[in-house]
Amino acid sequence: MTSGITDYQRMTKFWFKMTAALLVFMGASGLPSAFAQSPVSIDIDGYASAKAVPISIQGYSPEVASVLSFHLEVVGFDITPQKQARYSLVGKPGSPVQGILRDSNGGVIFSRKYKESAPIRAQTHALADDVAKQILGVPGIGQTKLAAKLQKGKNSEICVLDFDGANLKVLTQDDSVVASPAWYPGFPGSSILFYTSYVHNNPDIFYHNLTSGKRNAASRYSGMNASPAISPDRSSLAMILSKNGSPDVYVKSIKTGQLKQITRTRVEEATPCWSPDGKKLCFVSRETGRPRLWTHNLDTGKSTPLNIVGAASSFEPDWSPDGKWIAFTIQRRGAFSICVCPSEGGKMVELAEGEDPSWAPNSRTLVFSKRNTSGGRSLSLLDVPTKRVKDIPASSRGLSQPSWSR
Amino acid sequence: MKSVLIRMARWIPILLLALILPATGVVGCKKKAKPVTPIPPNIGNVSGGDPSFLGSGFDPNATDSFDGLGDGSALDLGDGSMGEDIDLSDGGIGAANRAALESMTEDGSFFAPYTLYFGFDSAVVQASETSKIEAVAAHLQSSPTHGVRIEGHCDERGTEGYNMSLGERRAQSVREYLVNLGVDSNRIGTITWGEQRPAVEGRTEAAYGKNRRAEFILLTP
Repeated sequence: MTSGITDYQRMTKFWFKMTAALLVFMGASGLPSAFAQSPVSIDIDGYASAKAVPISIQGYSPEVASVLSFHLEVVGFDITPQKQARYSLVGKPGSPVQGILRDSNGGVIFSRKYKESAPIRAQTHALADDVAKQILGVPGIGQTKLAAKLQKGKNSEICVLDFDGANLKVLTQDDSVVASPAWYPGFPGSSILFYTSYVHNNPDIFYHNLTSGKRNAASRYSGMNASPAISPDRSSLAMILSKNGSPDVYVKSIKTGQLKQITRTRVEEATPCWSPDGKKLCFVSRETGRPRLWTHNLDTGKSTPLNIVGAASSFEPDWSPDGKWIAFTIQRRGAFSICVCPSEGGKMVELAEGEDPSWAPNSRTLVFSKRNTSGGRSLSLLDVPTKRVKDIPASSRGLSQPSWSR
Repeated sequence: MKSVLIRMARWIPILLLALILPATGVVGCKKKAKPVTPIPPNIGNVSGGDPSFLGSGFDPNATDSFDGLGDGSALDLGDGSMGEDIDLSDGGIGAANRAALESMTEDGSFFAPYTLYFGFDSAVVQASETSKIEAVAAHLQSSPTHGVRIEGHCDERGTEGYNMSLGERRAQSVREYLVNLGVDSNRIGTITWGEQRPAVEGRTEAAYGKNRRAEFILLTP
């Protein structure tokens, strides 16, 4: 068991730094700008240069093997023949799903069997989560969901699917335009989505309880009501409103309904997201001429451009759940790329072609949308440390604006 | 010099409003909001009885118990958030009277010749397009019961989220221009369609140029 962890640490310096930074952050928690003052410099090159971990899989039925391989590849493993593998996972066909995880010396890391009452896919994801937790030390994503916009001709609907593309369900039947779904934090205990719909012939924000099927209007001001983002403590809704004559960032208290205008510019702002401590917002503003990322400190009330080296324009930020990174989109000669930079700005890493990234709860995997040659979109997954991309299978055609439950 | 002019120009709508509003008695006039069409329960395909969809840890028999998100909570703003007062302190030109405009009859073809076009990634009204706005303003001034909705659109060469804001900014730029020409801001609604409603399909410069636009929809009582 310990040999597996030591093995991985030897392989990449990155997790040492993550742990060190986390300890520093924990020690400094309570200070308003713990991230900015952290003495540990974030090594972005080290972060995005990890190698995939070779693992072999044997003994499973084709269905289980396929789900298992996809899941493990998404979170940073490479499925290889046993001879090249650093770890081996051996199971049996059918349900219950079980697995014996061994290191390269044949030492058993764990031997587990999963609850037969759960669907076989769920059992398989639980096993993959355990392998990832054990070897990489990352939280599982097997029970997470994606929400996305599904293009249907001229119109679109909101849909929900497993992170690997299975179990796609169309949530709305508005026969209208929808946009930017965003999860209310706390899934699956809370299963609520916020999104924009034109069902009343105006972009308005709704919140939709997936459990009861009920939805209500969250914001129906004059002009646009778009890009909802719920604070991690679930107290506030950040969004874009244009009721005062220009698209600006606003924050509304979910409990009291009190509305606060965050930006007051004569240019457009777009797509706010929250820092995980709830103290900052990151959004797009054109205030300095080109659309780029800005952060707003809710304690001081100050907005400042995020200095990203090498990005003339930047769009669609998403703050990683561990607070360290901001993923975003850059645009160059009509092509879009997914990039990541430290949350306090600095050097960025360009990871893959695509747009609109959203972090998984593991702060490691991103989902994003990609355009095909005819302009249609589909979803892909990106393991940031290894920069590897896996397309979500055919069911994701027409999907964009993904949001990962967390 | 240019920046001074731009700064001065920013105050024009506010000054104009300060002149117009006392005359029209708009300030502080909050009309009763139009009731929101109720949304039937169980909309879409989601039901409470499908645990495999809802993921682990979910109790399908649980009642709504999400912090402040139940019926009647502060976020249930469907009725109270329309017909905004104009807030001059924000430096903007105030909201349209959404409830009043939504009850009017639409005519998408009346102003069709006056659709105006924008440069790439820009919400600035080009000099070549201003005569179209002037023509719309002339109609609104001669027909005091009419209103207009400005619909802002983008080409597909932008991220979807950003294009939503850019489309709205385009519509708002045209709205400001109309207000500067003396049209009551309460009569002018805006809507952004982002890149969702291209005028022309295709991925050529010519197609993109036709999609970066603002359209006028005539509203009559």
